[in-house]
Amino acid sequence: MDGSLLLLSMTIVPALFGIICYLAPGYEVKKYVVILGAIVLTVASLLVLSGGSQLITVESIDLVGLSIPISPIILVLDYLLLLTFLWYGWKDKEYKAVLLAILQLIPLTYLELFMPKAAHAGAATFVIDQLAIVMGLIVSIIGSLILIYSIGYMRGDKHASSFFLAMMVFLGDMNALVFANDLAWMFFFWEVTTLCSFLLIRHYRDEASIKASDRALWMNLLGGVSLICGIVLIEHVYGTTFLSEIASGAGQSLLPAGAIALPFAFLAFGAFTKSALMPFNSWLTGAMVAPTPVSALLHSSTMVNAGVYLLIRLAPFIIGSYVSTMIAVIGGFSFMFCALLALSQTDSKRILAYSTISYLGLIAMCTGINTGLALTAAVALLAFHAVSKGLLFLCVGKVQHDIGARDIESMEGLVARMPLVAYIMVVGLISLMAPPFGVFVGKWLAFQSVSTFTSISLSLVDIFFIIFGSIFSVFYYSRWAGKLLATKPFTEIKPEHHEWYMELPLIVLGLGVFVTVALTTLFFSSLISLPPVYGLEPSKLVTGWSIQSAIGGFSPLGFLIAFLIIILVPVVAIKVPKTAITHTYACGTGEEPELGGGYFQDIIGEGVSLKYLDPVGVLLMIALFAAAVI
Amino acid sequence: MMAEGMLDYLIPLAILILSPFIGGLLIGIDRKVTARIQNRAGPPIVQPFYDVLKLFGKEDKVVNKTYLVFGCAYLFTVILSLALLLFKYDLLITTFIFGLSFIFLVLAGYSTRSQFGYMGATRELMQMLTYEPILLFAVFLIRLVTGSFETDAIFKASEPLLFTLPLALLAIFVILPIKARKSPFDISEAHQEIAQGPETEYSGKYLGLLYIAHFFELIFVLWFVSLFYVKGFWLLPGWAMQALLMAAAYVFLIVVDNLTARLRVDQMLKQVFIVGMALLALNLIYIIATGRWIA
Repeated sequence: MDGSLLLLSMTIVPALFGIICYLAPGYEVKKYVVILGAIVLTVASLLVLSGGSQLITVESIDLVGLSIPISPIILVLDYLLLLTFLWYGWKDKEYKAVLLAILQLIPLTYLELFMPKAAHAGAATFVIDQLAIVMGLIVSIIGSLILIYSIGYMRGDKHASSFFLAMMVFLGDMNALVFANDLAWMFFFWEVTTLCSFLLIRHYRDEASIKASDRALWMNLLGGVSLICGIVLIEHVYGTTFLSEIASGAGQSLLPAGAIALPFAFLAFGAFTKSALMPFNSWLTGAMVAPTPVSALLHSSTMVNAGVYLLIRLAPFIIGSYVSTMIAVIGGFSFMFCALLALSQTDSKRILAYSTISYLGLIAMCTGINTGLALTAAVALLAFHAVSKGLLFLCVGKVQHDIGARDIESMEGLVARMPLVAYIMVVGLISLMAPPFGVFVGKWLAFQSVSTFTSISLSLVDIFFIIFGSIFSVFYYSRWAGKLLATKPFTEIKPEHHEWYMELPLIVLGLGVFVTVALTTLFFSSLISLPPVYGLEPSKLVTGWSIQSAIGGFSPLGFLIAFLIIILVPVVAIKVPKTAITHTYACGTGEEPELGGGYFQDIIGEGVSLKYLDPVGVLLMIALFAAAVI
Repeated sequence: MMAEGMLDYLIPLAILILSPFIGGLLIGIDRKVTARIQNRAGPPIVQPFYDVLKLFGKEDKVVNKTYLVFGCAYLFTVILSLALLLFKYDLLITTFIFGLSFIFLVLAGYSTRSQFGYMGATRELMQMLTYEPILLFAVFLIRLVTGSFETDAIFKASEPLLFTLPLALLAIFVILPIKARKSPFDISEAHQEIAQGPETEYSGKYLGLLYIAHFFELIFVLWFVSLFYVKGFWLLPGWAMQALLMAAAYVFLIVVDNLTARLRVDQMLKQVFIVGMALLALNLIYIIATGRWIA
């Protein structure tokens, strides 16, 4: 299939389906439009995967003989977007957002209208390389599953039409963002994600939602300001805004020679806000007021991935600089302390939110370590985390839909009430903490890459972060999995209420967890390729039946088989006769124990920790820019 | 040449098969010695085996199937990690798989929904929080001085780990009682206060399987310690040095067990972190200062 046609069906077509869905009367019709859209998106992304890397230049759209260039269209849309932000900021009296939108207008106008630009001969506007393909698969497949899930979840919702519109525009836009080669275009797609997430977070339009969405808006606009400033500086220093040309480009630099990394510090700051790393974590945890499919979309397939995606893109340009080191430290800081905060939470969605930030921190840390091994770890973590986290959010949404609670204390013994969902959820939880699952593979690679350095310095700080962060995450995930499995003897198992639109995506993602592990080596050998800057380093990671680096190796598939044997043999072999079942030992009291607690809220709760962590986060951001200019 | 290659597999296999027996005997010796210290006669040395055999003849009393599955998974994972260690697999992965066995035990404890199981599982997690960082840092230091996470690199290193990482070994000694569930850190199975912790609800043959898992576990921990001296010394071959180191670690365990009383969880966290981390940090400074690390 033609490359530009595929590109179209991954970016514009979902948006068109969204509009059709918005206009279509009745929920039944909308349902089929959504399903069709999901299928088209999935198929297109698989075709792109089979098509491999390619460059696509789309300078203009041909409409019945009329050729309209795209750049001006995007510019106009850019202004409309900023005006929308202004309007919402004004309406909600969120003056920070108004100010930031104006601050974006100035550099944008300068960049597009007044800045002298070199001619770009032959630079492709869209580059579909292997990183973009991986991102596209995450966005399209997991996003489609979330769409199908939402059909069940949003049934009977007043604003379902606008919800589906925003979701589908979001997916198309996210695809465009990862394919875009021109940073100026990427900025537009970047801001569209801000708008979509803003609209989705305020879906219920109650006071809490509006407050949370306003906070998300101003924080993301802050990142947008930083991003556009970075792009202007890049144009200044390198004479191009095309990602593929930065490495070779050289313009008239207004900056001192030492500050060559400053533009990237601006871009990285933008990435941190989008990925909600500390100290910007509050917008993502606040966004939990939105419907659960929205949370799933933000956490696994879109939004927050955009930030770390940009960091992975930038990593080759800042090898060995202090900015890179600072990114590693900021990422590690978020990894460890968000895991600690997750440990103190009882609300399942907040646990997931903190754990997302935590893992994004790990990914950011890997991009900051910036070796071939570390960058491989970053891409791997991004992909595996998306599958597991999407799965868990959808499970939590299903539970909340059915039992009306999302506190992990109230999920106690869920296997007796909703066996299917509970078991899938346990699979999801184990996949985030235990070997040999995908996230573990990523963590293992990260641990290895932290241990592979030529000078002992901040790497020691990072290894501290990675060890403690991993152990905290094991703590809260196993506690949660234990809660789900804790059943009383003699409980009757009630028939589960099935809603297949919601359960099918769960089953697919649950299987996906295993399939991704089985395909790990294939994934490493054929989908992760690094820019030539890394020299021969990627080839040090030998993949066959096992993944072998210079300092260690293991076989994910072999351990997956071992893991399945370890679990399945007892499941099959153990027979429990009805007569053997007994009550739990209660030390002769015969009383039903009240179980719970163990969250250490008064030691590490949000109220206690964030007081110290937020200022440290701000200091780290200042240090990021300081690192760029020294 | 051929025979040597065969031996490389046969010896670890033999140790793996023998390890429950060795582990059981060691626990028997421990009970005997402890009894003599307390001026009791004590059970015969083979008592642990009698216990296990007796358990297999007992009637089952179970709460649900889930915790039994996890109990068996715990046993299998411990055996797997010991096998990985003996067959010289990647040390980092081995450590993580050993950690996985504790995750299974914790899940088993939680899934009984018993007050003792719950308490025990939470405490088990706190223990994991305590020892796992120390162990991973130690593995990291081993990687620093050998240049690789592969266990083989330890055997090929020019000098034994004991000379380069003496304080890291001490740090591992600090966490030994946690892994062996002995005083002062027998917190998760504090039978005087919370019955048997995560194992409270097990009975009959399933409890017997857990006992066997503990035998394997003990051998794993001791073998890990023995990696710190794998070269021949004077007239003694490498394996004799390993055995000596294991014996020293075991005597240390028994002595500490009898000298100390149980600590609270928070005391354990504080003491182990402060002492262990300080030791590891000092050792790190030592290897950096003497330039013994390999990038």
